[in-house]
Amino acid sequence: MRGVRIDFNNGSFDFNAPARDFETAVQNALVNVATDLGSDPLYPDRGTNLLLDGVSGRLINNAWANHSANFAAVQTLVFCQTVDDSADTHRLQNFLLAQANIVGQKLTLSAQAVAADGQRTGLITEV
Amino acid sequence: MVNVLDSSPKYNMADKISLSDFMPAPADIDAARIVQAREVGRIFLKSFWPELDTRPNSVFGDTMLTPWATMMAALEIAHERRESDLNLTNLSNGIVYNNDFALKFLASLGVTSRGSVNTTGVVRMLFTVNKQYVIDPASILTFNGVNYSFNPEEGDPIVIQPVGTVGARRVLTRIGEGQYVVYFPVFGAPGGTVADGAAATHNISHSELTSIVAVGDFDSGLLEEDVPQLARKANQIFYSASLTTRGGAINFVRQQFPAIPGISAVITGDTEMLRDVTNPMGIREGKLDLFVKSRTSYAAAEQVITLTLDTELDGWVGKLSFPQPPSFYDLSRGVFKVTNFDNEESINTVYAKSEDPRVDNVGISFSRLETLGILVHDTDPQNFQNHVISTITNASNNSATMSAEGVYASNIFSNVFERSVSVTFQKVEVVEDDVLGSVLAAVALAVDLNTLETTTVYFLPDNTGTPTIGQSRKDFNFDKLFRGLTLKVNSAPGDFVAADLVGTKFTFSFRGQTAEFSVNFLIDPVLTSVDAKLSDPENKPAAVDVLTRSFIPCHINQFIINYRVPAGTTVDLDTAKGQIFQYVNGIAYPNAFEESVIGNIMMAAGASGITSLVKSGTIYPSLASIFVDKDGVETTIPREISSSLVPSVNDFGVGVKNLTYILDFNTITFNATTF
Repeated sequence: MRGVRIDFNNGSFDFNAPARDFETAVQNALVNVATDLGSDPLYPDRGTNLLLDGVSGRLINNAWANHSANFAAVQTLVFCQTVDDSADTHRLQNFLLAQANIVGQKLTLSAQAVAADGQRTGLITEV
Repeated sequence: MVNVLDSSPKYNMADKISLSDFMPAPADIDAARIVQAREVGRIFLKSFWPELDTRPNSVFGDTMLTPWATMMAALEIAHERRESDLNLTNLSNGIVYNNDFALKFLASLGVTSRGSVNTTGVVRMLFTVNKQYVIDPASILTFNGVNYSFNPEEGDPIVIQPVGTVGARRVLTRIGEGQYVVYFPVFGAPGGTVADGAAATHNISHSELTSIVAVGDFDSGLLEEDVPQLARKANQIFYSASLTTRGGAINFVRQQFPAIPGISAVITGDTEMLRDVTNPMGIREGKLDLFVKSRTSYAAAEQVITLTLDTELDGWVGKLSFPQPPSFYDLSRGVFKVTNFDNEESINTVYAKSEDPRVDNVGISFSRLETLGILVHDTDPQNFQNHVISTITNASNNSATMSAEGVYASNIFSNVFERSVSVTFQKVEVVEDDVLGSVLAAVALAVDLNTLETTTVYFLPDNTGTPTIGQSRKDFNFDKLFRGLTLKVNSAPGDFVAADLVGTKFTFSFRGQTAEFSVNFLIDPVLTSVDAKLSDPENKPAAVDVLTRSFIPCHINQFIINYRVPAGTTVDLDTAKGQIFQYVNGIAYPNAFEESVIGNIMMAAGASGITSLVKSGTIYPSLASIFVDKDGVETTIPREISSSLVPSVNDFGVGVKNLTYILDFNTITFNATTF
């Protein structure tokens, strides 16, 4: 699988280095985490409530943030598994969001994704 | 088979289809449909670029494939909508996405909106003086505050001619002392309501015009058709509304006169068609008789006619010059009022002849091509006037003289009871006489100086030796102008030399003994309007001869319903009678008389059923009882009495396709058996 790589740090596309295989699955999962649930009329199950929880003041502490992130991870995993090709060995097998840490107006999370072939990757991002 | 869509000059659809005209609003696109299109796109792209990530949340999937799928779904829907607008069933059910496109599509099938259909009707104008009237065609007649106008084809100006004028479009008819009427079709805005007998106000300035009244209820017309109505029409008419086919002709009339309940077309080859003669090449020409019945009850009309005494026939004869072809006699009022009694027997001495030079049979009955004449027996008529023969003047410079004897008897097919004529001798000719054998006759051309009718008169010598006088030969041609008279001529006093008469011209006038009679008859007011529309050169097809006729009547004179009813049960006979009246008088092909309908009506009124229906009717192939062909040969037109109300096989053009029923309300009687 190959797709356009998203530069999450700069909020842009990196056309020079395409995302490949498991990278595409992880990238799609992260996009899904940051997508508002219900914002896509074609796929009502796409997205999560994590961003909404953040802007609506529900993430009152790290525990609540972890709680919301766990739900977001599960929602993302379920959705990605419905749209991934079941024969693709790089499809998302597991997806975790943890170690939520609220610093000022930012929330940092540790994300871990596991591919069907067992490949693992972990990334830290900010939302 | 010609593809109408390809060949229509009105609309080349391939050039003008714009799918964007059919695009749905974004909110009208079902998400599942876009997802389906997206999946199709994904599979399609995968065949070219197997590694491309097109999943939701992917860059390409979200920024390219999903918008494309949305547009694809919209275009698919647009295409479906266009297909739907090409489906007559959908259109007729009111499923219309693009009104302009649908209208053009229907136009390509030959179905266009007729526009709004005007309210139409017939008015009777009553004048007090018999003279010529000129009317502004822009004159306005007003019924109930709604304006009505004369049809443009009445001419500019509209001219109404006095009684007896030959060859004019509108001629006064005398209906009584100081009462002269003329009928006109009129039209007004759609949706008008004018009842039979309603009086109009108007801006016509003739002081002799005393009233304008509606003859029969007006046809209210219709508003312009919408697409579903047009599509239904397209379905009904098999894409055709012309006068070249049976169905097309019927639908043509229905377009123009939507409220007419009874229309039937008889075409070449039908048993009811008697006009389908062959042309000189032996090819049968297309004929189409269109029978029209606009109402269940015909309008009653009456007129006064002047008849001339024919001593030979011992009766009064003359043409029945109705303002429009009558649909039937008004038997309920008495057909002919002779002095103070109704002479109904006179309907048995009505004669018919054809005005179509190529059709010499009864196939023109109940149309403008049928001329009716009558013989009435009466010894004490009204307004009797004696006969007169003027002095005969020799307009030539010779000593020839002419005399006339007898009483002018006019003609059964003429309402000319007085004539001014010239008789000009033109040649001599050897003719065979039953008594004298071969004789030299003087041949003269006679001309009616008013009507310009002409005929040839043969004057035969009184003997073969030294003839002293020439006498007119009584034959069919002579009777055209001089029936009842005998003309005698001398080339010089006491001498008859046929050759000496050539170039001699006599003039004189004469009138017969006349009396007045009133006639009651029934008319269908719409018949004239339909006939005018079908005779319009713009509508008249090149290869088909169309004739508008009133349906052939079967007058029902016995209608006894024997029914059973449980004791104590009331049967609503008034309602049943009204419904039976409406049903029977409304029957026109393809409907036929069905006794089961009578049974249903009776049971709905409370009866348990009918045990029998005793009925009898008389079928009139023509209002005439005798047909006179061009040679003067008379043929009896049989009036079939039928207990089944269905015509038997016949040679007079009567069949199920052109038969209707006339049932008087009071003829319907009931006979109950209580159990």
